[in-house]
Amino acid sequence: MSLNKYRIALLGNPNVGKSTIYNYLCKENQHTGNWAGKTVDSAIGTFMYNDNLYEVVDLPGIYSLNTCSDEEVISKQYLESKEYDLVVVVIDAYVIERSLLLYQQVCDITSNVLLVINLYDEAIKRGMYIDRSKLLEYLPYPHVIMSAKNKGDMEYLKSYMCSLLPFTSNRQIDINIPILLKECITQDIRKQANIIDKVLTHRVLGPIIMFLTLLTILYLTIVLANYPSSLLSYIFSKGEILLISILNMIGSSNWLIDLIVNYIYRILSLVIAVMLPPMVIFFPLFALLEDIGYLPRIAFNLDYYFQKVGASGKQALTICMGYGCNVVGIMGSRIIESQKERILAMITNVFTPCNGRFPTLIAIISMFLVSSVSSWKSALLLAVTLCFSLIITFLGTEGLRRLLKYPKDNEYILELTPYRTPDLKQILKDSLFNKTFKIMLRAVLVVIPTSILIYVGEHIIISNASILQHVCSVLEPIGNLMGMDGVMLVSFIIGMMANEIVLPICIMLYSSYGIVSDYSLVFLKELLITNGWTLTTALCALIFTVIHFPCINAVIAIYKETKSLKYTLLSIVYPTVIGVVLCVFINALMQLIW
Amino acid sequence: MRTLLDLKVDEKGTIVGIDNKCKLKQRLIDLGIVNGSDVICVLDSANHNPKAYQIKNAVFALRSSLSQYIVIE
Ligand SMILES: Nc1nc2c(ncn2[C@@H]2O[C@H](COP(=O)(O)OP(=O)(O)O)[C@@H](O)[C@H]2O)c(=O)[nH]1
Ligand SMILES: [Mg+2]
Repeated sequence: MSLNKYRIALLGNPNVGKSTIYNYLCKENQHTGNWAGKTVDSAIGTFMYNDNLYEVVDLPGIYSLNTCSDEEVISKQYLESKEYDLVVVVIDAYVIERSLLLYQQVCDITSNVLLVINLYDEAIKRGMYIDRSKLLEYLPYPHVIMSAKNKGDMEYLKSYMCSLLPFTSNRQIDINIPILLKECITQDIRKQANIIDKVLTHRVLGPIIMFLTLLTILYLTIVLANYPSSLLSYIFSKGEILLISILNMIGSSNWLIDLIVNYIYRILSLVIAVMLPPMVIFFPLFALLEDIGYLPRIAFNLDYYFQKVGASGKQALTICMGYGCNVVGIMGSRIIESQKERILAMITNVFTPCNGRFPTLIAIISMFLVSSVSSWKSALLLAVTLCFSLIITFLGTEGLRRLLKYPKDNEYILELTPYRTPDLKQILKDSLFNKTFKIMLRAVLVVIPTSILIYVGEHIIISNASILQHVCSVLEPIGNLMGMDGVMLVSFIIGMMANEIVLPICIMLYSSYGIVSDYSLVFLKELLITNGWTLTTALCALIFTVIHFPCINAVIAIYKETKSLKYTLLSIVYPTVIGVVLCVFINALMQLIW
Repeated sequence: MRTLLDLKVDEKGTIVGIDNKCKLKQRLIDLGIVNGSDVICVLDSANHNPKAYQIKNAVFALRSSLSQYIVIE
């Protein structure tokens, strides 16, 4: 048996179907799953065909090899490395003219190129027709005209692609684009932006629709998360009793039971029962918006305000990525061409509450800020919180720009990509299974060492108090000034490990001993009130959740992206200072009016 | 001299030049925004900045600071 290994790279403009093709080819064997939809770093997968092994690299979208943003540079460098056997240039049939420019540029670097003219079904719908036999004449190089939505086309692509390898021809590819277009393509010119676009970017309706969309997503997240949440909290509370009796039965020592039950089990249960469901539900809903193509319209609507604060309009997109995960938002800032605007976008991305912070916000809002259990009211307040975070992002960007003395640099191009019918199956698979598994794994990996750390901190006694108590009491005055307490600040600091453990740790620190009867919000609220929580505490906790230092992964991402200690440090200090000042101010205000 | 800025929604024009002061000139060329291309202004925003233009089957949002450099006929 002869097993050959070949490497194939997928390259092309954003949104032309590279990832769709990649997902089809490498169904199971993918190493990197990004935040659904957007490819911010290259993903690598493999598949077998006729006893050969093929490795596929899905590169970030690129418009041109001449002028590159930092995101595009990855694709360009990969191309120049020549560590591949075939480059598949995927293009959107409808914008074939400019895509052929990219194809030509690629051909200047390598002759091992396959051109995939994708999205032909969409192009036909919009009145374009490609004469296949003429195209063979004017483009006598490997090419396929297809639709990635069509299974037959995909199978054909797979076999054709594999039949090209090992690539034998060394012909220099040479095409005459204007003549090719004239001879092979017929189309009726139509105006593209349709009534939907007019409505979505309308001066009055646009913002209203944005807000309603946000509200609906948040509402669905809260409502749908309730069911698994209450089920899980029931199971975990029963499980606690069971776990204790098992541990007793096998004769574990008391300290071990204490560590396992009161620390590891309890934090893990809270993370999984309270934090996980909203995270898992939010992902597919948001991925859907992204896949449909709504995000560039949001960027269009908000652009005026980004101009005002001297930011790139693409920051709207990195903010959207930040709702998923700030690390992705930070890495995604590579789409911003100007280095300075990119730094602004990265450092201020932490003002966007990520998926790990959503459940905390939801829990605080439902416990303290709405009187009865009303999902609509919670969703509304959460939407308001997100609008608040957006305003803070604008102001924070302006402040940072002045601090760093950056000029306003306003030139900017954003393609409003056409709407696409989303691939529901892929979204669900991506976000529900891949994401859930990843978040769970991360939770376990973070919670176990953190719990042990806290256990140790609570059990080493120096002059009548544990180390943790000492730390808490040192932070207590600052905490009080900020409308909170020492325990909460400690939780936020430990929460740098991962934002979703902030509330669970806080609750665990309050409730160290005794069996927890229930992990539901009603029980948690009582516990928090017994520990001195008031409306002011909740409000300040809410604000500080939105505005505080980034988690450790985000800090690392900023360092990796900027390679600068100064900016990394600034990314920690800047939001922290703003958060502290704002909390102190709100606390003082509340004391006055209460 | 008319520039893209002067186009109102649904108005058409043909690009005849891009000012060298434009920092993103090469980028525009790479996107197929070159002399001789037909443009239609398709979307406007609340402050007439940015506007969206259809050029060669693609739609781009451009800020005034950039579209002022694109000369049309
Ligand atoms: N109708 C149609 N939609 C497609 C086709 N190829 C991809 N799509 C859709 O286009 C969108 C963008 O595809 P994606 O693979 O994420 O593009 P990428 O940015 O190049 O990776 C997705 O919603 C796909 O489902 C196609 O041939 N026909
Ligand atoms: Mg992709």
